[in-house]
Amino acid sequence: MSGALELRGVTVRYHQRGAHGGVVSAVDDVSLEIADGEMLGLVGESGCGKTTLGRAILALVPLAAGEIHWQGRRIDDVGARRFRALRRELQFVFQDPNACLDPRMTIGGSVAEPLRALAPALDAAGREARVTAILAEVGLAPDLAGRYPHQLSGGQLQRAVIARALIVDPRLVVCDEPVSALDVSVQGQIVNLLARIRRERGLASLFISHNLAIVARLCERILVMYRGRIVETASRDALIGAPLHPYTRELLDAVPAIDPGARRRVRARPLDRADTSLAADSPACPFAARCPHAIARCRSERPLLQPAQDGRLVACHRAGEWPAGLPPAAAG
Amino acid sequence: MSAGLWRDAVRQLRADRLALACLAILVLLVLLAVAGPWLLDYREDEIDWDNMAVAPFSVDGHWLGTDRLGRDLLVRTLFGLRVSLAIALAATLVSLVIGVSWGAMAGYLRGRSDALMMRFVDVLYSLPQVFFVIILTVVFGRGPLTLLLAIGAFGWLTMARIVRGQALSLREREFVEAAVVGGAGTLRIVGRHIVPNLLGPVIVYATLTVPQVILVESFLSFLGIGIQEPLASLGNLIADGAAEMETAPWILAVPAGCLVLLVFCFNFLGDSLRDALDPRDR
Amino acid sequence: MALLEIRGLTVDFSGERRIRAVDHIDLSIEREERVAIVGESGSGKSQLLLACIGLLAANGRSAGSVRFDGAELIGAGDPAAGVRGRGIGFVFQDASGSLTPHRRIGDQLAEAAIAARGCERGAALAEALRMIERVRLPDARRCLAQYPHELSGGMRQRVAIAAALMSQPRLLFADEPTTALDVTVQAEVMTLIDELCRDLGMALLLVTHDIGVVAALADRIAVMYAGRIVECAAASAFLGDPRHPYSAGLLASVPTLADAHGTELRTIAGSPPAPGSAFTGCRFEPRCPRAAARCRAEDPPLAVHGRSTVACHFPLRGEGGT
Repeated sequence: MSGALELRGVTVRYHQRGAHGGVVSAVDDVSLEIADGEMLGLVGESGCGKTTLGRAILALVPLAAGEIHWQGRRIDDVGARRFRALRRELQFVFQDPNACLDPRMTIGGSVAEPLRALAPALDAAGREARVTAILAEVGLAPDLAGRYPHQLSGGQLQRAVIARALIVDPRLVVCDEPVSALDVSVQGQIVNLLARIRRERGLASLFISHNLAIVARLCERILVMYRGRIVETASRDALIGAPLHPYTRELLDAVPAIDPGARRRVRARPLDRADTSLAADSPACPFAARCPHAIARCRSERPLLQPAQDGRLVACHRAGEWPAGLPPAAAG
Repeated sequence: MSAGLWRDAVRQLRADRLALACLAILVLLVLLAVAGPWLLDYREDEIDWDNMAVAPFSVDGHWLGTDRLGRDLLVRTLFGLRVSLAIALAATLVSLVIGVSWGAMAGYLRGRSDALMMRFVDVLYSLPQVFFVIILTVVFGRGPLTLLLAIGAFGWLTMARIVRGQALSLREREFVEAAVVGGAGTLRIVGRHIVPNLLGPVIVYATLTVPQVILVESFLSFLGIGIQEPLASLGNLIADGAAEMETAPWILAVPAGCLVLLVFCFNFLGDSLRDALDPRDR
Repeated sequence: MALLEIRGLTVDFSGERRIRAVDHIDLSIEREERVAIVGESGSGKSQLLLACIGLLAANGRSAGSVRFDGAELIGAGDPAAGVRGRGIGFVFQDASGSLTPHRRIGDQLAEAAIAARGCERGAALAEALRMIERVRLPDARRCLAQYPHELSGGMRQRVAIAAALMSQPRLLFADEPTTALDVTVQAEVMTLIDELCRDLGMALLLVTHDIGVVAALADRIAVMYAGRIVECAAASAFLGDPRHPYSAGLLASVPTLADAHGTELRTIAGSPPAPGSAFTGCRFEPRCPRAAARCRAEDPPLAVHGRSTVACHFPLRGEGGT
């Protein structure tokens, strides 16, 4: 299947200073596909490389290896100037609305800015009309266009950020933790907004988050990332109902339960193992140090991402031992 | 810098009475320099044969006395102030424009372009400024324009360094990344996002540059290689006054006092601005 | 007598306008009781904690009374040291609030013990080792010799907790202790705090925006909104039967895995008010789905309804968190 967006063996490296030194792979040999109109979820915690991956798709960081294809054409080796034309089709929603909006520009100015480079035929009046239309679409009153970022709430700012991403009519939007910086009572508003926009525009999207519950709400297919690698991919129901990778199980267990019985179910946890940052070509499974199911093979041989049942992919030596998925961690 | 930071800064400045006093004095001096000579009786090169080298407040009409050629000292000082201020402001403007563009571009581009651009700055910085001013005056002749070029040629260097440092950190901010995602080119990013967000340090430094330029110009004019007679600048007025120091000390005191007041007020205001714009305890 | 008694605590900040961050809070904590304060941005929850330990910013003023074991904390001299000496420990959101980057961990922990109890260095270091083991850090001896930046975020936070415990406190203040950590590590650290409170007989006042984090841990939950407490109840009563519309909305807006795919997330309209906003009537009224005319006019006082104390004219009535 060739999707609208295709990543093949994408690797992003950077040099790390300090005690661990050397070269670290922020993203290591990642391949994925997003079809037209599909919302793919990417879940992982800090340092797993999901943000770097999102930025790599938008050519904000260079690739060390691999290819990125969009609509069948290769885009990772295109120069910065030629990539600019692609920015009409590929857009990005940032995590922190307070950081990604220029504090010295009005909201209207920030939202309209992509039009200057990507829709140069529009004049000032044309831009203004587009801004008003897009603000309405994201649920912002038109008079907010003249305000500055410090005058708006977090939720309003994030709507403006989404408006800016949508104003050029992109075909795919990478959303990098779009609600993590917001209050809980406001997060739902933005999540619902994104779902609605995607439905109405038929937008393809990569939704990056550490919050599995939100990703499960929005996405039919989910990828789990750990230390720069994809460790499991599955449909939403399969991932939640029958997780095959121990890290996925850990993520699922970490979703908080807030019913009255939660108190009695406090679970025992493994010790926080020492965090040895692995060099790019370390032989072990990166999760081995934390894994309650690790065996000798895990420490000497890195598991490759391989097909499991029903078209799923897992990177675990022992995944075949639990075809019905890992059960929740035992009550302590 | 956020609008909130500006508001706080203005508030802090308004509470700083000495800074406000300096600002008031500066405004007064500028007004006097611009409009003063018209309001006074004498012209700056007008010789009053009857009242040569008279002391201040002793003769009607010559409030601050006259110099040894009988020219009214107040008028000449105001003219000198006008010239000194004009050159200082023009030279600062030139430094600002060149320095900010250079530094912002270097800071944003990073890598080899940055290294090259800042190396150029380093080389110029190491040259002896006064020496080159002298060479330039020899080549292009003395006069205010040469002076402006000479001072401007060196004045932008520190500004470029300061701006480059700010630009380096600004380029990592997420809104710059967002502009890249929005297809903006380098010029637009530097002009619309980087430069407006580093105005704070730029304003402070510009305010502190003005008195430095005044001093350089005064020094050069004092040495005789800056502004020439009969055009007056604070520098050559002070040179005149130094010659008469023992017999008619006011000829030195008036322009020197004016220079000191001017430089002090700019420096103090610039310092207070820097404190006010310093984002601590927010 | 309660271990910690907060009466009428108010925190104001001077500046362009006077901002009231905390508005007449009453709260008491018994020995070995764990209380969680839940609130979003602008609720004043962090300022409440900082006022208790005297760490407000320079332009902040606290009024009212905070008594720890009978001794008044507001206005007491040098804040942090005095408080630690009296049996209160505190853990910040970011471990770098408690740990100096340029000193070894063992030295810092030992220093905390010496400052609090005046023991001599050898005993203090032995105590530090014991505490590192107690917070379940592997290879304790090596850990003592390391610098904070050599550890991961979760491990650093455990060290910060260990540092807080060096003075053998009877009450632990924690300000968003797990917010900066990964989800999988959060649960570990919360379990650790739970264990330590039980083993050491400590009371706990924990401030957070994340209800999920405290559901398993707290005895009592208080919800703050715009500087006021709007609901306070035992944890099981609160989670099963919230009485204030804001509490119910908060609980409903936490996404869980049980929810069906593609359905809309529950949410509360509008945004939390910025600190220093002026109010007439109930502060939650603009966002409340049950608001009536009386809510606009009259600020509801805290009153007992069922098993909760609520500030609402029309509290929910045992509908199970609708």
